[in-house]
Parts: sequence; structure tokens; C-alpha cells
Amino acid sequence: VLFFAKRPRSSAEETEEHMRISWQKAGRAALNSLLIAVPAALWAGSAFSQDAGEVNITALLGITGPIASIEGPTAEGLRMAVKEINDAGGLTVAGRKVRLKVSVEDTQGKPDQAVGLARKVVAEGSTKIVFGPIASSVAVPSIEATQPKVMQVTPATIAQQLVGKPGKELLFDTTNPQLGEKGISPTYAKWVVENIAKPHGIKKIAVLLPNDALGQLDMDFFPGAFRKMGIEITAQEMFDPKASDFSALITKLKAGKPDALFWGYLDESGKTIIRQSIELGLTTRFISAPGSSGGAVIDQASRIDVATWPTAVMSLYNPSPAMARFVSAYQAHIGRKITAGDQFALYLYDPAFMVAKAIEKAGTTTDPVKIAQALRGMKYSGVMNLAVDARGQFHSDWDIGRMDKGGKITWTTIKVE
Amino acid sequence: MAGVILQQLFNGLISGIIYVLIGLGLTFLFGVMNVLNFAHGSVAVFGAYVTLWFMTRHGLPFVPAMLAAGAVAAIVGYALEQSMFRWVRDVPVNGLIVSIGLISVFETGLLAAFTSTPQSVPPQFTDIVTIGPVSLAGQRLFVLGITLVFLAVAYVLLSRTQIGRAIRATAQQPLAAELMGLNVNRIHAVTFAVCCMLASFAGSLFATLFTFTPLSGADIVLKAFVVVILGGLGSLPGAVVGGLLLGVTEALGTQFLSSDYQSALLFGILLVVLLVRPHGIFGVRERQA
Repeated sequence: VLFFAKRPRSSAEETEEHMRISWQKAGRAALNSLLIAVPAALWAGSAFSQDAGEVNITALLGITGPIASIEGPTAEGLRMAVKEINDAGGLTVAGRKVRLKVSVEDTQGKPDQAVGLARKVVAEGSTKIVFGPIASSVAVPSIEATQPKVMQVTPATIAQQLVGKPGKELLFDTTNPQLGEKGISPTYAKWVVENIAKPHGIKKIAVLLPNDALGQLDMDFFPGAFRKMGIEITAQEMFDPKASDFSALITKLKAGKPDALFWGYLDESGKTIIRQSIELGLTTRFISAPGSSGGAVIDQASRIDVATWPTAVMSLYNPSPAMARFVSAYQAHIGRKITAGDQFALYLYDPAFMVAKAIEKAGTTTDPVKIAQALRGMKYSGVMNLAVDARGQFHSDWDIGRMDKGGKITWTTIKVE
Repeated sequence: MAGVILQQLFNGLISGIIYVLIGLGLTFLFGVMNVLNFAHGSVAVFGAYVTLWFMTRHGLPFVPAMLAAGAVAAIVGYALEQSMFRWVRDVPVNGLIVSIGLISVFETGLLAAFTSTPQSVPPQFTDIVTIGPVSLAGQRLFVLGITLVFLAVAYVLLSRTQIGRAIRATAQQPLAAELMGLNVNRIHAVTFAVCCMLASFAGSLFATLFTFTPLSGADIVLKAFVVVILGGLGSLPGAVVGGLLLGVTEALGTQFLSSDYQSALLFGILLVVLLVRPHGIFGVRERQA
């Protein structure tokens, strides 16, 4: 009770209170001055920091916000590539040594923020090459802002539908095509039926995908593709991408008695989807849509019969020597061991080296048209094997992960031709 | 079909009970201090991360880790009230703005400390109890039990203790409470600390069922606001009813309608409740002078 008892104030305390308020006012005035002075100093600094021996590149990535778990590692992969290029002596452009300077601008995963930053890049004119974003909903408006003035290299799936179109000649997409004859989706669907469905006697599949651009793309393709190959689809449901509890949807899907669940596509939602599917007795067999890194199934390894997932590029867990070297260097760069979410670090790593080579080949740091021309048709062997086609679409090796009972994981690499 | 409905009711009950625990702190804070704390969800996520930290770094079992995280959240809450909310107490809208700013502080701090990789607290029970057509995950039953204990403790604390009486007196008539010799400033700070502790407990329990990232707080607080507005701002029984109503509505709505309509159904019910009872189901209409 004494703790809550009111204590009368002395005159000394009241004087002290007056002094404290005066100090607060002075502090606020100082803070206001700082708020004006610091940005002004930073602006002045940036205006004069453009060195003749530097090539500015800007990354538009959501390193905070809802897609930070994806675009944060991508930003680190890009930073690491730039550091390695500079540590190796930088670029030689028209006989002159230059260094790359990367500036990561945070879109916060918001389209309006991305547009503002993209417009700023175009208006300032000091950057001719932009990397990112990954999220299609953020990438589309940023592409509209940068094209056709600045070269943009993005892993966004939606960019696959835009590369090579009139007015988008400076646009490049770095992840493998989703659709088309050799796209990830048709190749993966066929692989799933032959390697998972037939051996495990899976004849009925329920589909659960997020209600966003990529989820809709998967919903338009996979159920139809599975039906054509003789698999029955018991139910198709979409969920709010921000949802955290899927128990009601899983209970609904259970009524169709499926043999397996085709789910999409982010580890964040996938972890809960898989756990609740097992707990509610839906299934112990899981087929992931493209996008998962495999992290969603590893937690439940002891309770899963079989699970599979395709990666848009090669997996960090692929046992190749080049991947082992990358992972080792990346772990040193970020100061911790990799997790499944770090998969996205690879999305712009090799492409950054290819863009650097294109700058050297073009012999210019300021003409994005010439740099884009030099990048088209380029082949490169880094962590992965990559090739850029005439439209600006990258093609690279990619993996299909598979986890069998007991948690044993195996990889199937689909090689770029 | 009866089995499916039973299963959905249980699903809704579990989701609802988590909403109750989150909404409880929020409505309590509004009832006592007239503060709408938008950072309440971020405090819940903070509690989840601190629990995980105690478990992974110090090897504590879940319950001691959750209690320790609650203590940390209470200290943080006390400090926040004394350093920030205390100075904007007379203008509630400023408190609301401070709380919005705090969301960024929590998110940025947690991102720097724990990265954006989705996390979850390992469940204590992995057994599944099957009763007829209904599957009951052991962890969900555990969360239900713990939450009921917290609700009982909160009820006893408020109705049977000196601190509870002091808090209720301050909520009803702050001026009269001060005239009776209560230190209203300190009571506000303690109330804020208790609410942060409740949020932390809710976050820890949430984390054993679902994945979370430093940014999960915004979605959590949105549902908590629906709970307290449905039940009546400042009403503790209202938070309980609002939470359960929300959970069951979501589950049955998903079963009988498309999940696309889940949000529309939820906000439709909120709209109807506000039209019929503008002060919420259990809210008390303020007397006009």
C-alpha cells in the first residue's frame, strides 16, 4: 500500500521540477537543430562523394517490413558480391580501374516506398543500374518508374512477363522462368508425379496457396497440370498471406481425404501449415510450390512421410564445392551460420558478377543501353551456371529438395542448358 | 458434418483464447489509463523472442522462460510508461502516436537482434489426442490450460488484492483516488507494466503454436483491437467474449464460406455490433453531463 501512497512535494522539489522543464526545453531545441543539421550534412556529403573511380549501383530491397526475411538475405548476398569484386581489384573499364559502390535503399516491402526510391534514382541520375526488388507487388511499380531510363536487374517472378517487351529493354530477370516448356513449374510438376506421387501411391491432392500474385500464378497452373497427369484435386483453397493460423482451413481440406497437401510457398506460413496439417490428421506428405527453401519441413522431420520443394535457383544445401565455398564466405560475411531463409542470398550474388563483367565488356559506366547489350547472351560459371537470353531472362541451375521419412534430404539439380 | 463443426469450434476456441489474452492487456490499459497502445502486439512479439532467448541461450524450460520474459516485459513497460507515456497522459492522442512510434522501435530492435528469419518456440507436447472425429493437439490443450490460469490470476489480482483495488479506483475516478492518497502516477506505471507482462505471456504462448517474425506484432494488435471493440473498450469480460467470438467466427466462417470472406465476415460482425451497441457488447455508455 505504501508503494502506491502519494507523497507531498517540497518547495525544493518544485524548483527542481522547474529546472527540469527548462532543461527539457533546451534539449528539445538542440534536438530540433540536429534534426535539421544532420540530414543537411548527409545530403551535402552525398552530393560531393561521387568519385570518378566509382560505379554507383542501387538495390531496392525491403530490408525491413513484411518481406525482410526474403530481401534481407538478398541484400547481404549483393553486398558480399560487391565487396569480393572490389577486393579483387575492382573493374577495368576502358583501361581505367573503377570500384563498385552499392547503396541498399529500404523499400520496407511497400510499393509506394519503392516507387519513391526508384523515381529518386532516375531523377538524381548518378545510378544507372538498379538491383531488386524480389516481391512482385513491389517490383512492378518500381519497374514502371525505372524503365526505360535505368537498367534494372530483379529476381521478381512477375518480371518474367515483362522482359524483352517494348520499353523494357533495360529490364533483366534473374530467377528461372516459372512457366514455358522448360520452366520450373511444368518441370517440377512432372518430377513430382514421377518421383513422389507414383512411388507413394498419392492419387488425391489438396491445394492450399496464399492469395497473392505468385500464389495465384501457382493456382492457375498446378491443379490443372496435376489433373492432366491423373491426380485428383480434392479441394483448392487460398489464404490471406498475413494469416498465422490455418487450422480452420486445414479442417475444411480434411473433408476431401487427400493423400498429400500441395502448399505454397513461404517458410513463414509453411511451418505452421505443415505442423497443423499433421496435428489435425490431414496428411504427412507435403509438396511445396516454388518459393520455399525447405526450412518449413525440417522442423517436422520426424513426423513427415515425404516432402519436396523446388528452389528458384540452386539450394545453399547443394553439396557442390562451389556452393560450399559460397556458404562458407557468406557465413563469415553475416557472422552466423546460415538458416534456410538465407537461400535468397544467392538471388543477386552471381548476377552481380555478371553485371560487373557486362560493364567491363561495354567499356562504359554511364550508358545502361550498352551495358544491357553486353549482358544479353552472356554465359557465366560462378556458384551456379548461368546464361542470359536475348530477352534479358536469366537461366540457371536449380534444385529440387526431397525429404524422406527419418529426415534424410536429397537434392536433384536441374542443369541449365 | 457434426464432427467437422466440433473440430472447427475447438479450433476457434484455441485461436480465441489467445486473442483474449492479448486483448485483455489492451482493454485493461485503456480502462485504467485511457491509452490505446498500438505497440501492444510488438510487446507480445518481444516477449516471444525473449522467451526463445531464455530457452535457447540459457536452457530454461518453457514455463520459467515465459515467466522470466514476462518479468523483462514488465520492467520494459514500467520504464516506457515513466519515460514516455507519463508525459503525454493528459492528451490521449499523443499517447497513441507515441505507441505507433514504439512499433518501429521494437521492430527495428528485434530485427537487429534476431534477424527476420521466421521463428517458433518448440512445443512442449507433440502428442495428439483424438476424441471421435476431433483431433486435439497436446500443445493446444496446454495453451488453453495456461491461458485459463492467467485469466484466473488476473481476476483475483484485480478483485481481491490491494493493488487491484488501487488500480480499479484509479480507473473509475483518478482525481478521487489521488485525493484519497493514492499515487496515481505509480499506479499508472504498474498498470502499464502488468499489461506488458500479459502481452508477453500471450506472445510466448502464441509462439508455441505459430511462427513469428519481428514484424508479426502489427497483425496481432489489429485482431486484439477487434476483440476489445467487440467486447467493449475497457471491459475485461468483454475482452473474453470478444476473443472467443472472433475465434469461433473465423473458424466457422472458413468452413461454410470461402476463406476470402473471413475478413469481410469479421468486420461485418464488428459493424453490426457497433450499430446495435456502439459501446461494444460489455462496454458502458458514458453518461452525458
